[in-house]
Amino acid sequence: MKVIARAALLVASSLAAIIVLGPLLWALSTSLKSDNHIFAVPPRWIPDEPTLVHFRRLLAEGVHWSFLNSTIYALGAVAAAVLVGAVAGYALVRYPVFGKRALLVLFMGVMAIPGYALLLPTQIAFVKLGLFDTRLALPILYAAHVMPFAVWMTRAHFAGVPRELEQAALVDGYSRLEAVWKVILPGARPALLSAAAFGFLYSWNDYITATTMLESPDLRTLPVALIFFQGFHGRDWGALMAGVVVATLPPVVLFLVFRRYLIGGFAEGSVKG
Amino acid sequence: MPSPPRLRPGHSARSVRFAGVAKRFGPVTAVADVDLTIEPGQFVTLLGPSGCGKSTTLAMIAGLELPSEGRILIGDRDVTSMPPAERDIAMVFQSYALYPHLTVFENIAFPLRARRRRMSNEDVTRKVRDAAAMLGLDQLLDRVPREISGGQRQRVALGRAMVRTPTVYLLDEPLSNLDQQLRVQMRSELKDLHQRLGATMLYVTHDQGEAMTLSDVIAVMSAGRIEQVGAPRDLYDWPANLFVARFLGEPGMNIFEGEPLDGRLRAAGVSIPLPDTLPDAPDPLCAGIRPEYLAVEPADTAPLLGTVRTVEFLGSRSLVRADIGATLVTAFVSPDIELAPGQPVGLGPSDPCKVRWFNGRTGAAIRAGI
Amino acid sequence: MTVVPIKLAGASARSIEQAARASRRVGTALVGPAVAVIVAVHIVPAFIGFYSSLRRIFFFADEGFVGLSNFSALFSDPITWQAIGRSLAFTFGALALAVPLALLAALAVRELGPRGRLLLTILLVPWAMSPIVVALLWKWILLPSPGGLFASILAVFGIPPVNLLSDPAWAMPTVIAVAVWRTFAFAAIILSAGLGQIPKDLYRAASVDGLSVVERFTKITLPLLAPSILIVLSMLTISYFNEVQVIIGLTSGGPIRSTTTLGYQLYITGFVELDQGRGNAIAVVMFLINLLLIVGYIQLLGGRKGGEA
Repeated sequence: MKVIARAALLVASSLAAIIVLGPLLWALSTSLKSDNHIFAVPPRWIPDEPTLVHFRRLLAEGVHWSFLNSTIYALGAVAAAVLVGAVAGYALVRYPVFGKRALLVLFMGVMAIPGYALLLPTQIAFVKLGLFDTRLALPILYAAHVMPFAVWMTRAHFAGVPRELEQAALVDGYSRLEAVWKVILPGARPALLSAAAFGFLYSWNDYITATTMLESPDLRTLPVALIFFQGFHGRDWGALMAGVVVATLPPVVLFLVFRRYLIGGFAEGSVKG
Repeated sequence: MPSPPRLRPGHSARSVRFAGVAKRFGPVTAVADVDLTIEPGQFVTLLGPSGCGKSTTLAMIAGLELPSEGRILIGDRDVTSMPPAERDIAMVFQSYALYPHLTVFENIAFPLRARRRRMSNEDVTRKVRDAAAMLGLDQLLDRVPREISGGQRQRVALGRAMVRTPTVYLLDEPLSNLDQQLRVQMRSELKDLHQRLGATMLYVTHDQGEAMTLSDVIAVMSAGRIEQVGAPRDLYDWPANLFVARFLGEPGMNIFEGEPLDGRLRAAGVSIPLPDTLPDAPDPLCAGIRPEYLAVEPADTAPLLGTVRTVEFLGSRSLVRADIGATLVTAFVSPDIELAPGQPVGLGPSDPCKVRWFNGRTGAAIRAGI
Repeated sequence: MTVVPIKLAGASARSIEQAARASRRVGTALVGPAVAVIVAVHIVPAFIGFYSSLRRIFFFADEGFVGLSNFSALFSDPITWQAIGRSLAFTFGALALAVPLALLAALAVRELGPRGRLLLTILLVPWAMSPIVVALLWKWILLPSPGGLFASILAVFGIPPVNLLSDPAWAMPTVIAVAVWRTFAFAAIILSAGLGQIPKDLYRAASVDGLSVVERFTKITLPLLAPSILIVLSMLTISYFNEVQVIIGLTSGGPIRSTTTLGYQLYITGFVELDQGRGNAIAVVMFLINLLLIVGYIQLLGGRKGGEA
């Protein structure tokens, strides 16, 4: 009985893993097949003659520039959000702040309301401010969308750090800033990494903000470029799947590298409530 | 009153003075109007129940809290609103507050690496090794705090304090996270350390055993006020008020409240002769007798008459609890005396000179005729 | 010791006061930038949204105040009500699929021990992907052509290729399935953490008391997991209600509007047709529904916490 249950569990888990990973492997497989093999019946998982022609096609279309845009926007947004968010998260724990309770409610509330509902008025505001269709538009918005999360994450971490640790450093002859730098920051790595990794995933994976805030082709992010490519070459599945692979690799690798912090961050956050 | 024993203070040891220091957190007064002087090289303990303001007082010396009123001086310097880093003090925290990401060596070296000290690497290494040798940490220098035991962490915290020869050591319940056996051991190590360093040490605890054994001077605190300051022996023998009388000693002093009448303190079951030196005794009046100064007497003439509640055999003596009037009295008696719960018992002071008198209204001690 | 005359001078008192005030200033200054960003990018647009919803705006050209006419036009349009219905179908359909799956996954993750962490990592891979890229990927998999992956699987069972995405009956369930494929494992993180919080002794006590496996699940696991389930429900409800990227990528709201949710309607009206007055009216409605959901869940969560204390 125990053995059967265990076997059933393993079979079900493997099935789930196949349903999850299968489509990704299928995309990878398609991206490496030449056009006349893509629609082969029955379908083949391992390409007969693997080719990079689809990836070269993307390069010819200038998709690497969109890749670069996506990277720059995401990194800029993450740097700003984590820096400003962590400073705020620290201050909310350690300093008397005017209207602290109201600010906490503000941060939590803003985190719950998705940016999408505010995108249209944001677009109107950005047009008025001259930020629409500029290089700054997306970093600003991504940073702002990620920041409440960074505040929440770092605040929860700092609240768990004993006050005595900093006090000891103060007594030991360090200034407040030095104490934070030498004693608090090294311990805050998991929280900072988890906020940064989440921020990168959010920014890199966004489509809707990018497609509504930018028009110029040379400012496009990778997802926007892929959708445009699909619009022009809707049946070129090899190249589209090459695009899917290129757009998926960075966030998935990042997730695998930082999964401990990402999973840990959300798990802890939810348990603490 | 014998003056507290004076050690030769170490060269860096400084005095600490409080003048009218008070600390309020909103409407709550944590520390009210504290005046206290600590001489260089003294070991002074702030003793009191939790929440009495002793830790807040310590934090104000460290500069971790700013007083709402008054001034604090370390040596000749007014440090009242000076940042902690400039006070040249060391602090050992109840949780030890070791830096989790640094090795034992780097933890001890941490104060020396502060920019304000500008110490060369060789000097740092030498000083850390000296401190580590003194505390028996030589073998642990490469470990991180989570890899060492509680007692070892405690020593690292002490090493981090020692290494810079501070003007004052502040110790906030440093032994309370250790188990009983280790606590007693560290207690004597701490005493030894104090004598070797000749340092000014200010110690905060709620454990009177620690306070008694370690201190040159104890300051008993309650509800933000200092109730009494003095050598452990003086505090025990001559409590300044009812709080100190009840708080010190395990168990504390037995207190009998009554009215002075015809040369005796009278209450239900109580009839203690007043000394001649106490002519105009206040009403109500309290008599205090420590458990070890109570003896069993024949019931018909005993000043205290009551019923035995429990008897605990402790080997060299027995602890008797008896109801006398409304008071639960504790007495240490010879284990040879047979007493049983429910049995009537007569008790009296074994030495009339050991009876202490207090004003029943104010609680203040009456130092009669000494 | 040199005796220093101690005066309770005003100077000292003032410096203490100054230090306390400085500390509050520093704290506020440190939080300031974050608050400024939040206000600029979240609060101000919310007000612009309300303001714009009361005006007639086409292609960024403001033609003036029109009162509530955007709203009355919106609510008198049957298409709006249809979109609200589609939103509800999408949100609750996705919830009904995602929460049980996440619970099963969380139980499996706990049960498998160290291998469970591997399982969770695998299941989370789609969550790390872009929704629009996921849509693109599934469009290829579902392609009704003999070489398509889904069609080939159907062919094994002798079923001819079907185009799920252009079938009005199948489009919505398909979109839901793809959205859930991407996100359900995220919920499993939280549920698995919640399961980890349940003391093992309770299960031992229950088996000693003679409870069956099913009883242990319904009498111990579910009640003690309720707070985590509520967190998951609240996060997923809001996330699914605002989902638009998967729909844009897979069906563009079709076929015959069968996947046009309120969110997608907002995208079309506001960003494609550039009817920004009406678009903002939809945004306001969505914002209010979001707010209602959040307040509702806070009440539920808060009520539970109060009850436990």
